[in-house]
Parts: sequence; structure tokens; C-alpha cells
Amino acid sequence: MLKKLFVHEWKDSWRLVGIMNLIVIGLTLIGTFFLNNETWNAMDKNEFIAVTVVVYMMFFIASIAALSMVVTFYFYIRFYRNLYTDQGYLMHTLPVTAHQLIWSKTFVATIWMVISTVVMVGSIFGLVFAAIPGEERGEFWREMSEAFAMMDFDGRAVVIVVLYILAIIVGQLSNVFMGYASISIGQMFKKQKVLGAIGVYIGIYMLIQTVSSYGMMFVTMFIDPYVMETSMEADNFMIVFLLILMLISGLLTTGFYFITHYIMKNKLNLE
Amino acid sequence: MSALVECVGLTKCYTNGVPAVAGLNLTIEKGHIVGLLGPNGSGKTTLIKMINGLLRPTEGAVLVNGNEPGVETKKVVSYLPERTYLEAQRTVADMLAFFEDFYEDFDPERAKDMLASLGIETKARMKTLSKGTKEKVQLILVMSRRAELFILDEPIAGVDPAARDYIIRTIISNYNPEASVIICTHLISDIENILDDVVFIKQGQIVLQMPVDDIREKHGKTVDAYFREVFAC
Repeated sequence: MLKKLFVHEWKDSWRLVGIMNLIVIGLTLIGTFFLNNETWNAMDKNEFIAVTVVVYMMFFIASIAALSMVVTFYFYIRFYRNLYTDQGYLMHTLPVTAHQLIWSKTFVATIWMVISTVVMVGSIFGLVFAAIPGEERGEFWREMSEAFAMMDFDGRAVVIVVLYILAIIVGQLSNVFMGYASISIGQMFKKQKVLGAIGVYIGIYMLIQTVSSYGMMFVTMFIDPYVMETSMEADNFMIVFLLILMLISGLLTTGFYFITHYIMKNKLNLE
Repeated sequence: MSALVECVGLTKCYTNGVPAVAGLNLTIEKGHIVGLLGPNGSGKTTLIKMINGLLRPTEGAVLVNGNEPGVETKKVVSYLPERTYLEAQRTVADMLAFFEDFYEDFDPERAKDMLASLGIETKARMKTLSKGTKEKVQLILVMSRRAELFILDEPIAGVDPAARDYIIRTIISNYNPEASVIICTHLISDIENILDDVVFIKQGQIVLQMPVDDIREKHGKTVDAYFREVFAC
């Protein structure tokens, strides 16, 4: 049933996010084509081309910003509408569990977040790379490979990179579930459920920021002198730091998940 | 006869502390069409939501086929809520595929026949359909299942008399004698001819559960007239 839920969620949600990604890719291709072309160089001499470049850059930046907003909020809106408004009468009477409902939406949202992040980063990199004059590109790659060669890629460096990627994924999941938990708490309100959800989200966000600010203060006051005293290597410190970060994100993710599941199972409040 | 739905001491209190359903005991046998009737705020929708697993009881239990509401009961209960739950972007064909995927007892051919008889295109998107047509599509989806229990919440409210006749015909023609149907409505006179039993509910408690024939014989009244007498303001 999870697979079926996933397939239907994908079918229902791909249009908007897919089209947004295609727009960013399309604008990037147009930009790189003209950057690789002599037309772009005529910008200083031709006012029409200069204005077109400005308009193009505006569209490019707006498309990246819009994609970033869409992947963040679209899936929250879908979660709310699909599970806590009239559509919830269908979704919650399907022969599926609340766990399956939550995970099907999480998988689709996460996949689109990863795809969109790759598209956004790739587009910016692609455009920047295309702006480098052809004769200097060889130099660019040479400098990049030299920079990588200078890095000491021993076992610990690989561990740090892997932990860093994992920390980003767990952090992303934590964000997704924080939204789901806020929406689930918000739907319990008698009126203004959406406003309630936004309020809960802001409240949780501020609480986490406050706690993490004091946490960083704790690190600065107690951990840093310890690291200096014991001359703990920076690599090891980084590994410990990333592990603690992942542990905290993991705990938050689990907490938000179970709040969402508990409310969906026991405190559903469909009008 | 075996019990299809059994409510024992069923109670639901909302946050204001007032019970919407209070210690309700109810048994519905297989093969009956039951009218669940009561004034506004009597607890009908709360009861229906608990049978469907959309609300958890504060006390007591509700069992469908001997199981508490969950995945197993949702496989055999076909529910038509008062609200329209069809997503605007989906086509009628998408909804047929959706029901076919999730409900093993869904009969797509039966649904297509009913849609064709009403001239509803399967390619049509929900957002292009009128409110009445959407309600008909939803009813067709629900009634095209070979479920053991159909729960229809206000199936004829808000539609014109011709559509009411169609809906009632659909309920009768798709009704499997082994299944039971619970119909919750205010429009008693329109449906009383198809009911086997009625359940009157008031302030979250059952005040009467009786075969329709008994009401006519013992009280010499129609269900509609008897309802007006019992719930007279």
C-alpha cells in the first residue's frame, strides 16, 4: 500500500515542481548558450542586449527563488490539504496506516527536494562556469584539481564528508517533520487552523534557535578550552561535532514524527 | 443474523467536556438498510466518524465485523461523507484508478456503466464538474464497491429532486443483500420507503431502534411523521 500511496502522491504533485525545475533548467541552458556565444560580449555596445541580459538575470534569480520556495511550502500545503481538509475523509478511510500516509508524502517531498537542490546548485554552477571565458576554463579546472590535491584525504576526511552529507539529510528530514508536526498541531485548533500551524511552526523554530544558541555558548565556554588543553585534533573535533549534531537532529526528527503520527491517529479533527 | 456493527458504551467527549455521544449501545445486523435519524447536533456524524475510524472514542468500543476501526475495517466499509473529497486536478478516470488501487472490492466496470448512464466523461477534471455532478461521481465511486457496510452521510442533501431519485435508485440497485447500509439524513420522507430499520438518536443516545414496518403498524404513522412527533420542539 505504501508503494501505491507513493505513486499517487507522485502523480498528484509532479506537475508544479517538475515544471518549476524545467523552467530553471531551461533558463540555465539559454543563459549558457548565450554566454558561450559572441552575443553576450556585445552587451557593452548594444543597449538592447544589455537590457535583455538584465531581464534574463532577473528571471533566472526569480526562478531559483521560486523553486526554492515551492519545494519548501508546496509539500506542506499538500500535506495539510490532503490529510486535514475535506480530502482527509478519503485519505483516512483508505485501508492504510497513518505511518504509510506520512512516509508516502515524506518520500515524495524528499525526492523533489533533492532533485530541486541539485538543479539549483547545478544551474548556478553551470551559469558561473559558462561566464568564464573559454581560454580560462582550463586554468579553472587546473586550480580546482590542485586545491583538491592539497587536501589531505585520509580516512578521517572521508568520514567527515560522509557525516556532513548525512547531517544535511537528517537536518532536512527534521525540517520536513517539523512542518508536518506543526500542521498536525494546528489542525486541532477550532478555527484558523492554518494560522495556528504557522504560529506553532514559528514557536518551535524560535525554541530550537534559543536552545541551539545556548548550546553554542556552552561549546564556546567549555568545549573549546578542553580542545585547546588536550590538543584534540581538528578532524576529531569535527567528527564529534557532526555526530552530536546528527544525534540532536535525529532526536528532533523522531519527536516530530511521533507527534504527527499520534495526532493523526488519535486527534484527527476533520470539519 | 450476526452483528456487523456493534457499539458498546460508546462515548465521545470533545474539548468542551460535553459528550457528543454518551454511553451509546447499538447493534446493526447484516443485510439491513438502516436510517440513522436525529436532529442537528444529536451525535450522528460523531457516531459515523467513530465507526469509520476518523475519531477515537473517549470510552467504550465500536466494532465492525468484530474489529476495532483500522485497516481491516476500512477494507469492508464504504463511506460517503457529507463533504466532497475529490481533488480538483484529478480526472474521473484518475479517481477510478485510485479506488481500484486501494479497494480490492471496487468494481470499475460497474462504476463506468453508472458514469456512462449519467453522461459523465471519464476524462473530465473534477474542477470542471458542477457540485451536483461531483456528488454523483463520489456516490458512484462509493456504491461501486462490493463492501459489507455502506455508510452514507446525507447522500441526498443539496441535490435536486431528480438527482435524489437517481441516488436512491443507485443505492437500491447496488445494494448487496448480504451488506448493510446506514443512511444518515434529514430528508426522511425521501428515503423511508427503502429503509428496513430506523435508529433515532438524541443528545448522543439511542432513543429508538425499530423496524420501519413496526412504526407503521404500532404507531400508524410514517417514519417522517413519527420523527416529527418524537423530536417535536
